[in-house]
Amino acid sequence: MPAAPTRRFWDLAEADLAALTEGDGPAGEIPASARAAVIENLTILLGHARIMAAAVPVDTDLDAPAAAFAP
Amino acid sequence: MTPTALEIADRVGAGELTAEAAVGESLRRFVRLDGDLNAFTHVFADRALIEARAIDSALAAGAPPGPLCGVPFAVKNLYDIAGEATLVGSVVRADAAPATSDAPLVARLKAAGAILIGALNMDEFAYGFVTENAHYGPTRNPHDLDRIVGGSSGGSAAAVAAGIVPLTLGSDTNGSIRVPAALCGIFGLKPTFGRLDRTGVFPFVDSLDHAGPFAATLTDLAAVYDVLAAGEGVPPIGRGLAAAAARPLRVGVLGDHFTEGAFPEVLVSLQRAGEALGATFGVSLPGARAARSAAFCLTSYEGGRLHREEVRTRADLYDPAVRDRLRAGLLLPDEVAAAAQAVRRLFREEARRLFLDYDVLLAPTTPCPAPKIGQATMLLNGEEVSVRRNLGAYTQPISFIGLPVVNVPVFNAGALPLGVQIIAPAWREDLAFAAAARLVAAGVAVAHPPPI
Repeated sequence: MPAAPTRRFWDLAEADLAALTEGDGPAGEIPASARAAVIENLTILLGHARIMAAAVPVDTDLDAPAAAFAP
Repeated sequence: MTPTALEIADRVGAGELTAEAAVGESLRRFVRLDGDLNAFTHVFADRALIEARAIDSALAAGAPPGPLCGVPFAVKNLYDIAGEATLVGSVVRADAAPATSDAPLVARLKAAGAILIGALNMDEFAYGFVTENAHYGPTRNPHDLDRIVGGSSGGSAAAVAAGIVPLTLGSDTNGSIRVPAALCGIFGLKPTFGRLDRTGVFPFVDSLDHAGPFAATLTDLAAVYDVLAAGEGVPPIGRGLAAAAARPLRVGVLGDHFTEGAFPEVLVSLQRAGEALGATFGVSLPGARAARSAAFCLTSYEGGRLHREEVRTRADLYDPAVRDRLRAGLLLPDEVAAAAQAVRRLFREEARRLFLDYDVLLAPTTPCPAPKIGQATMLLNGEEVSVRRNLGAYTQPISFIGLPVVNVPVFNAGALPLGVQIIAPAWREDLAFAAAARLVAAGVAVAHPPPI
């Protein structure tokens, strides 16, 4: 049995993204364009992580949808 | 026909040509061609001419000529150059302090008598395969000015292909020497990971970055590699290159991942190279697809962490496409990076096993010839995919495990240049050069001058 995921990174990423984009617009808001661009790139990375996961265990949740970022 | 590096060095050493004249000719070609190409970000004409005159004076006083005496060269805009800010293709570092010394690889070339004339365009922070730089503009392919040169060391490839300089330095994290060398139809070397000193070379992904050279001939590539690797315990390649061409080699042509989606002309080039080397076709290297994906993830993960503060505080100064990929990488959890490293260990072992049966392996360098500038997508296997994300599909698995690769140019009549990767076991650059020498001797690997 593969180990249970130790972290649901999508749950944490919203706060991380807010910190990363603080210089992009009004304080406390993630600009829609920044959100969309990061979601697009994260979705691609997630796809590659899934390909990896077919070869080795990836000890985190790769199945949570990118839509978790949607405003 | 522009002279090769060794022709220049021989003539300067013999007193038939001055270093000043060699540099002057290079600067004239820059003035004539670079308005179209945009290969250079900076040219140090005055400094280069002063250094050339100093070399001429030293030779006149009886000093022995260095192996690259009087040879003009240029470096990717991420190598430290004393007195210049290392911009890395970005404006984020426009206020960086000037480098206090040359990167050791630049210093080695200078110590061998070569003369630095400029810095070369690249993808911002080396994150890309196209050299369509948002700040410095796109570098154009000398074989078709409407097409990209590949990246991220695109200026390095274009400058050599156009004959502005016979030698350049670049860097390769996922294919950034091999892809532009292939699309511009020249030779390029990505040595074994760790072979060449990266001090003074601005990092992108610490566990994947390689420094390496470009040249228009294999003999020049070997000569510059010998200078760069001198003192690393590496037997010189250049001296034995002709004899190496006669060396029997067991050659395998990789299939599966390394031919999936390849354009027909790419497969023709691979077939020609493989047949000339008496290769076994359809060799499988298991795990390549996962290795490519792992390299993709690790690149974003490590690259993002390198830029953590600046993508947050100076976001507006980045090329948005680069910034957004770095941010996405910053959001990848550590577990993905750990898995990528596990994939690396497994894949390295698969390659090690394959090299029990083969001395070198061949693979296409890119799935297609150079796309158009501004072209966002291309068709691979009937599927519309991103150009930027897929030009390195065949190079990424190989650099992921640090193997040495020589890109050889293979031209098909009337078509754009393509490249074939000659992949050797770790620390065996000599085997990749030996196979390349056989392809040169067979007339398969040759850099044709562009129509400019």
